[in-house]
Parts: sequence; C-alpha cells; structure tokens
Amino acid sequence: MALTCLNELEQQLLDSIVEICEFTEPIPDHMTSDSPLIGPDSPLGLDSLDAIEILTMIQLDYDVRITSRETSIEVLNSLNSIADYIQTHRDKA
Amino acid sequence: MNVIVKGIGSVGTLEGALRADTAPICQYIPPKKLRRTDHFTQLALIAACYAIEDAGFKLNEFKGENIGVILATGHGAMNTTYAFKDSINSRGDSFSSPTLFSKSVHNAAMSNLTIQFGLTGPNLTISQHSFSFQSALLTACLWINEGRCEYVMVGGVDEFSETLGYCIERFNDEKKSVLDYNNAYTKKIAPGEGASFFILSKSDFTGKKEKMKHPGFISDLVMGNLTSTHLPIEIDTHLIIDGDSNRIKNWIQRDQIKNKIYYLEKPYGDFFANPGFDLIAAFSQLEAYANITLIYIEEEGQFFLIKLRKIRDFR
Repeated sequence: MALTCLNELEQQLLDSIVEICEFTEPIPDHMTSDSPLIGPDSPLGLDSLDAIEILTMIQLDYDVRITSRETSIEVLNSLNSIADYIQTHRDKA
Repeated sequence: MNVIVKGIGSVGTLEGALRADTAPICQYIPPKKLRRTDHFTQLALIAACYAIEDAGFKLNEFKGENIGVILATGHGAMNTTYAFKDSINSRGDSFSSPTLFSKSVHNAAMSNLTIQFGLTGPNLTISQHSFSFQSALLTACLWINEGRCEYVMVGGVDEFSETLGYCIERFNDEKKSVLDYNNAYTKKIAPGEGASFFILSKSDFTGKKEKMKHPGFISDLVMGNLTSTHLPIEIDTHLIIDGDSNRIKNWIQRDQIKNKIYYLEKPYGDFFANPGFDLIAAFSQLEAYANITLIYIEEEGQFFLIKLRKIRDFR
C-alpha cells in the first residue's frame, strides 16, 4: 500500500496504521501526507478509537510520548504532522 | 407459550476444518462496515442475515423498535479475548490494545448486530455456560408473550479457539485422543464453532390457511431441578437428547420414561452454542413427529425442556 508522495517515515507510519487499524481496502488515491487522519474527512475513515491505537504505536515503535490531549489532536492531524513530531522529539531524546 | 419460528439461519464448522467460513458476509454487509468486526461477530452477523432472509424480510427492512435481539454465548469472543491478554503480556498494562478490549466483551457482537441492522428494540447478551441458548430462548419467548416486541431475533454463537482446544487436550485425559486439528471429523467428538439465529413471533399467525415455512412452533419451555421433580414429559412426545450425556440417560431411566428417543449428533463439533443447532435439527424432525421435546440436564440436576409441536396443532 505505497503512496508515491510519502517520505520513508510517512510510508512506515502508514503501513503501521493500516495494520493496527485493520484497514483492508486499497488506500484511496486522493490520500496524501497532509490528508486528515482521524475524523469524518479522513480518507481512511479512522475514529477516536483508532487514534488511541496510533498513539500507542508511536510510543512503542518510536519511543516518543505524546503527553497532552491538545498535542495529540495536533500531532494526529496527518501523516506529515506525526512524522514531524517524531523527528523533532526523537532528535531531542 | 406458543411462539412461531418465522426464520432460521445458521453457519457452522466446515467439514474437515475447525473454523466456519464467514466470507459470505461480504455479500450482505460492505467490507468497510466490517473493519471492527472479529470472527465471532461475523459468525453472529452471517447467521442473523440468513435468518432474516429466511423469514422473508429484506435486510434493510428488518429494523426498528419492535424487534428485540438476544444473543447467547458460553465463551464469547475467545480469540479476541486471548489476543487482548497477549497484548497486555507483550506490551504491558498501559499499552494494551483498546480496540481488542472493546471487541473482547461478550456484548460486542450484539452491538455490531443492532448497529448494522438498525435494531433499536431491547437487546441482551446472555452468557450462562452450556445453558446460554436455552436461557436466551426462554427470555425471547417471554418478551413475545409480554408484548414487548413483535419479533425477537434470538441466536447462539460460540467460536473455536486453539487455546481452548489445547486446554481440552491438556486437562481432559478422556478427550486427549479425540482432538485432531487437521481433521475435526476423524473422531466422534471434536471442538467446533457455529452460530444459529431464529426469528420468533406471535402476532401474525392467522390460522390453518397460512402456509408456514417451518413446520412447527415452540409450545412450552420448562426449567426446573431434578432433585425434587420428575421430568415433566408427555407420553406421546418424541424426545431428543444429547447422545453423549449419560446423565440424561440415567434420569430417563429413573423416571421410567418409555418415549421414542432420538439421539442428537453434533455435525459442527462440540461447543456451548450447540443447542441452537439442536433446535434446527428438532424442527426438521417435526415433519415426522407431531410432538418433540428437547431435553438438557446440567450436572447439578437443573433441567431445561424445549417443547415443539407441529403447526397444525397451533391454538
């Protein structure tokens, strides 16, 4: 399920999200790294329960902790925002 | 009691395998809506779809407040429950999977079922070991007789899990030799899985002229305890009993019951939701016998009788 517009980390994240959220259909063509990830506008149709799975995955796989509710809403906005957050906070650690 | 069975649907272990095929569910429900459903829920959904169709309803028409739903399960979604426990073991309490947890609760299949079909009437999941289906059936018949619902969709679901298979093999010496994971049908008793659903109603049966799809109705359900009571069985009824239960055979001998007895087979293997399949088998026998009584007896002596009659005797 590779999208050409994604960088390596974003593609890794997408693969993990597809797996943990049990998304079995093909990734929609209009999905980009800036597409909303959670909510009614998400091309993947993910919801708040998926968001918790994604937060857990980020902490386990990338050793990056997202602490507050406000930060998590911001970070989980798109693949791009998650990748940025991981890169910034992994470098700090 | 007198409750009509309008529709029957079932799915069970395939010959030569321990799991049932749930792939046909995609013909009824779009895959996108099935993302959060596990195998257990899919078993329930597909049997429910078959029952609704069998009752002559379109899936999108069978909805509303006047339809109750009761699901019976002895073990619930076992595979998901073990997967959730595995996620605690491997990732710790803080990182256990929330979606696996939500799918592991016994009521998850019922929730999916009611949401998928838009069933807004009363709904209930009953988990009472090997008497789960019988209790569900009794509750369904009470709902109909109380006028709480026009229809009640009642079903039993239980799934196979390798962990359960291992436990049986490991802890039950008697059954140690009968488990064969590659071919469940090489021996007499093997674990299995399945789901069966029934659409029950009382209101729309108008009498002799109406052609009923299923030739019988539930005339009575009797629950009691054998320590103080004899089995309340009529002389003319044909009995269907669990073929492997010496307990039942002993009580029948004690009560000197001379009725014709038909021993149940377990075509889909041995699991708690099997009484649903027993009821289907009993209905098929109603062509030949006017009265049938299904008998279940638990170790403590609690018994449950399901009495069926041919439709011509409906009053």
